[in-house]
Amino acid sequence: MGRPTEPLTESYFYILLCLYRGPNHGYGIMRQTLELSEGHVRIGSGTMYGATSNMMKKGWIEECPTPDADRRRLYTLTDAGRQVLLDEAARLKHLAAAAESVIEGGEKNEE
Amino acid sequence: MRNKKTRYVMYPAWEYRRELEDLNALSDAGWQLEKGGCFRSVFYRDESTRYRYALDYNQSIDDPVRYRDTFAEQGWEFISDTFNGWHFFRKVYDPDLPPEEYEIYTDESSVRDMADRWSRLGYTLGAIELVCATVNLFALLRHPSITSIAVALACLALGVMILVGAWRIRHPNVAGKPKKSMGWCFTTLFTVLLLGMFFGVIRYTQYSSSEYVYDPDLPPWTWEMSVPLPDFYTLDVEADTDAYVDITVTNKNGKVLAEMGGGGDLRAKEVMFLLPGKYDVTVQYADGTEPGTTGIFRYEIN
Repeated sequence: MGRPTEPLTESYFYILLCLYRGPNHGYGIMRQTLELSEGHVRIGSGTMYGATSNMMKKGWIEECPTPDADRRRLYTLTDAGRQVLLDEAARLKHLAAAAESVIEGGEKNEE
Repeated sequence: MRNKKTRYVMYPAWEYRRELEDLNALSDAGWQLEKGGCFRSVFYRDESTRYRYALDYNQSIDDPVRYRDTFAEQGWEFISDTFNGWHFFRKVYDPDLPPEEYEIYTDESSVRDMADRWSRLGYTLGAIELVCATVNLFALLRHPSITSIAVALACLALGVMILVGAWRIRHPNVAGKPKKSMGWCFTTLFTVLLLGMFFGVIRYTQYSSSEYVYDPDLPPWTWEMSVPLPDFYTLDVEADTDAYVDITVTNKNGKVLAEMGGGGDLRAKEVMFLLPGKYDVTVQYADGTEPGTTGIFRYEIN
């Protein structure tokens, strides 16, 4: 599995990010996304189900077994998903660096 | 005071947000949804809790248990689903929480995905309705009847309405929120369509084609016909005889409602409006005509 063909949505990006350090369940991903985005990004249940279903189909994440009494679904990142996340992070870093060089460079375009 | 009540309301799919607003308002008034449906919803009385509702449209859930578990993780309780893919959820309302807490789709992409799922169905249904309307318009030209007029117009209006609705649900920002609910209009058209189809079937079942082998020794022939529904009926005659014949449709007072005659190779149609009641269809040789010897006579009233 390789790079995503187009930029990830914020929800997809945060779900992958919240799984980077180990398995996590839907509610944990939602809470951690709120913290990491400083309250800007919230992942509702419909969005979470659609995104996790799509990413499981793409082979970026997979479900892990959970204790029988626990109805929460635990997800983990696959190697392909890890690579997608790293590629997207690099792309965003590159974009941020480009924006910074222009915005903080101070030079005006020649007319 | 009653502890349960049933509401018979139909919300078009593109007005699902209006349905949510109504469900939330009912919950604030102490009526909690027990079972949601496309036409019929059941509520029970409970003033102790207020809920906020969510409606999801998803016909192709690959893992229904994981689907409901994902909602349960964020406090959504599954209520019921409908035959056509709508799922009702509720969450206990806490006025201190932000409104986003009660949204199940939280980014533009997933909102669009849900809208796309329904609009694909909507465009298909709308196109089917328009095809049905066209077929019924052709049927109408052949055999005008109140039922075929009603079915054709209802199909046409429903088709246009569903296509516009599919566009609205797909482009909520451009379309904006409709000022008035079209639920009553949708319900009326749907009812007209069902009634039109129902009575149309009854009508055509009773007046299917009839064929008589012509017996030249026994004119005239009279058949009694019973009409249960007021409507336009077409008398369609096809005769292949060697004598001139007349055919008349009369009511029980002897008033002639349709009349035609001819001989040899007769092909004719006449439209008449009939009220419920008994009518006589009479076939006889035309005045001054010698009885024929052979022939087949068919008539059809539909």
